Amino acid sequence: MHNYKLTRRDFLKASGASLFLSGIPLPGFTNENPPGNISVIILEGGMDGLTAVPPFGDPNLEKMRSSLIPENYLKLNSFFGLHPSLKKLSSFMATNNASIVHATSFPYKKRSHFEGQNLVEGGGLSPFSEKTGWLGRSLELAKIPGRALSLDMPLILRGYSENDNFFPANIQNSNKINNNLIDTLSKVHSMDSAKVFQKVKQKSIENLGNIPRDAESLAEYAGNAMSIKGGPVASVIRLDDFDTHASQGDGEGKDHGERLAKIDNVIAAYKRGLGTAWDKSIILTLTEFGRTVAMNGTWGTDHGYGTVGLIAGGTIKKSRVIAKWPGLAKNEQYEQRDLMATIDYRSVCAACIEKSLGLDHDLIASQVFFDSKLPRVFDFIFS
Amino acid sequence: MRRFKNLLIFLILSSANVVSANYLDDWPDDALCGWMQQSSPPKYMVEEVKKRGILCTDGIASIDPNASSDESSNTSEIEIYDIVFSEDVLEELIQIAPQESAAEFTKSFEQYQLANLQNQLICGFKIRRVVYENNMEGEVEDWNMAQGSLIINGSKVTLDGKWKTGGLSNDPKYMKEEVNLRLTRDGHIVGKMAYFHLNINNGEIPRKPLFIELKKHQKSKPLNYKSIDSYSAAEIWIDVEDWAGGIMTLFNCKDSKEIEKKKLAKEKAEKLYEESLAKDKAEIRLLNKIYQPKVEGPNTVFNINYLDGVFRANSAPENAKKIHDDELHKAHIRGVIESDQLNKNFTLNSLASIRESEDFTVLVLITNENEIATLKDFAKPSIEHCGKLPGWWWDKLSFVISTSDIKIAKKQKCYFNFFNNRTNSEAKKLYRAILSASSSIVSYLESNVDR
Repeated sequence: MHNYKLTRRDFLKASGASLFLSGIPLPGFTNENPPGNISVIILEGGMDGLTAVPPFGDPNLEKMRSSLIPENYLKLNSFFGLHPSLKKLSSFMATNNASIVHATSFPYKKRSHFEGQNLVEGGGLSPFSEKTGWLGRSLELAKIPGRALSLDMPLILRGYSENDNFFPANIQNSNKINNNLIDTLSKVHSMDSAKVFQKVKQKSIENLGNIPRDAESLAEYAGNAMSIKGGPVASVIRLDDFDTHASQGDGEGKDHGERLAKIDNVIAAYKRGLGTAWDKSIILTLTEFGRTVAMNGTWGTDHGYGTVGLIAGGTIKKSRVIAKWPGLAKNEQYEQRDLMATIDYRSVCAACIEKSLGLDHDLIASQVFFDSKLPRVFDFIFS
Repeated sequence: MRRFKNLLIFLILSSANVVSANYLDDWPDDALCGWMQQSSPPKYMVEEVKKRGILCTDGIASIDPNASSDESSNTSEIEIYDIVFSEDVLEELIQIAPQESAAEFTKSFEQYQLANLQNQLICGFKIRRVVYENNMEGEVEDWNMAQGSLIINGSKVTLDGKWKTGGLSNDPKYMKEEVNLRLTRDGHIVGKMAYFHLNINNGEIPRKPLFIELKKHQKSKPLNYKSIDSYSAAEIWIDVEDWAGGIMTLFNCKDSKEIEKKKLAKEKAEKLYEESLAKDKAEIRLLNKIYQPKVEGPNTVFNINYLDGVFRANSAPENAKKIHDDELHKAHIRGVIESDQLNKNFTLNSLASIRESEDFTVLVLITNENEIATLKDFAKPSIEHCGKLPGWWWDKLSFVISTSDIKIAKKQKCYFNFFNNRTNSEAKKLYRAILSASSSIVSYLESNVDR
């Protein structure tokens, strides 16, 4: 049995912030030393992977979407490029700390944000089939429930045990809240309602300091929290506005370029916050689907299927683009419109869990993603 | 019979779960997925879907479209595309800063022709918000978002001031470290800087600054640094967001040489002042024997402090004809000076008058009279030795009652020393007696003789 020595008081003292942990694991029932940490950047709206990582070596790219190809993309090799907004990611690639998985997706083809987001967070076999998320279940399996850091409590993090959430919403004068009143209110409610009041009370007395609430600052804060021994091992940050139906643009200052720059900044902020813990960290993006290959009539793209996953962290030892390239010709596209996904992104998530939480792939496949046949792509990413 | 029926129903119901599992074995995948469309599909059906490892999409079952049942064959076609950067690109990529910073802009200055000022230029600056919401031309708000000094060395521009928008803007590092600006040859200020566009009140969540680029803006009024007379003001317009931007106004620009010159002059003046103050202090100490210095407003006034003598008149004063307009209270006075210090009474019979100005009050006596004729021999040499006091003439002696002019006070001290050093003890004693009673004589004249 492990003797988990970190007390709540110790943790609060060490971390300097306390909102994100209510469920400190019980002594003896937790994995004391998970091998790493994992952070997921959820890109809501369906990111266009063909713009982020243009496969310029495919002759059909120019034919299909000449107006959406970024002008000054960085050539990663003779086939793939990188959008100029992803400058810091390119720097991480130069130092062998970032990789890309292309033509990938969760196996969801219906192109609905609502369903797609639920599926990629829940990790079940169909939308709305799970009330917990794949990351939350992974934390449960690794015996480190509750040690999660998040802006809200997304499905992806929900486990069977309670996780707490974190968001620096220190509203003016919130520290002067009347706790006696809250106690009284709490007493006249029962169960969950009472818990809500107690949580309000708890959060009102926690000193958050000056934490900006832009995604970049929060990522830095999260990284810092995860770098502390005994701190959280998972975090999730959401970025929205990737649903680029119109005026998507092709360059740095354009809509999609600005969105990509946000991802870039968030990954870099994680690195700053993590410090030396970067070496055992893995950060991956997650989006519900990709976009159509061809541009639509409003200079944008519509909901599609295949996309890219961006992965960064010190656990990556060799940067690369990993793909089973399906081609962009009409007959190579999914339903003659979308980039075909040829790598199940659940496998990528599974590999990241395997690396960061030290779980066996078969266990992840069967108990996190409920698909015992889920391919293992660990070696492609981490070898 | 009825009891048997109930037992049968109970057995059927209690074995439903077991039966259902076997029963579902015969269900096609699509049929199961049809049930998955429901908001709350039966738990045993969900378990069966998981067990089969099928994916349900829109009520249709599918296996992972990219994977066969053989894991190795699923991944065998995956390719690794190695990253290939040239050495130059690699070097450039490695140098990319992990955090947005104004320093990143340095390379971009290559696109500009930069100024190269010989002397340092220092201006005041203020940044105000320009709002475009109601007016395309922009409305300048009447408060300063930031202010301080702008310093130009060569072409490099640094700011020494502070933001006033609250939150993180209170941290001086942004003004100090996150400003990377240059002056162009045509007087524009270009580059990148941390910019706190929004007000953050106490208690509100702080926001990181924007890193905005200053360009040659069409509306800007560049700095005419070549003409010292006209470069007192410049306006640098800044594009920030669609709804609002900023305007940096430069004012009161000064060349460092001019500033240095003024600084030196000021230092010199201060030094002289301190020296003269020190000298005055020493001199004031020397005057202490006969004068009590007193600071009145901007001046130090010296009042006679040698006052143990008292004049007592023996007869009424006789008014004398004024030869000069400034001979006030002029009269022949007759009486006695009583001096405890000298332990002797002195007869005084002399023509006396008062001289007054903003700087002094002086008693003037004619030494021709018998009673003080003993001073007559010393009047001329004392004047030659010490200089002329107000009311001077060769047969007169002046006694300064009060003055704000230290030079006059010093002269009076000189006369005192002159007579004090005389071997003629009678003249010495008489001079000291008159000086000690001078204030009393002046009071007598003022009270008894017309002005």
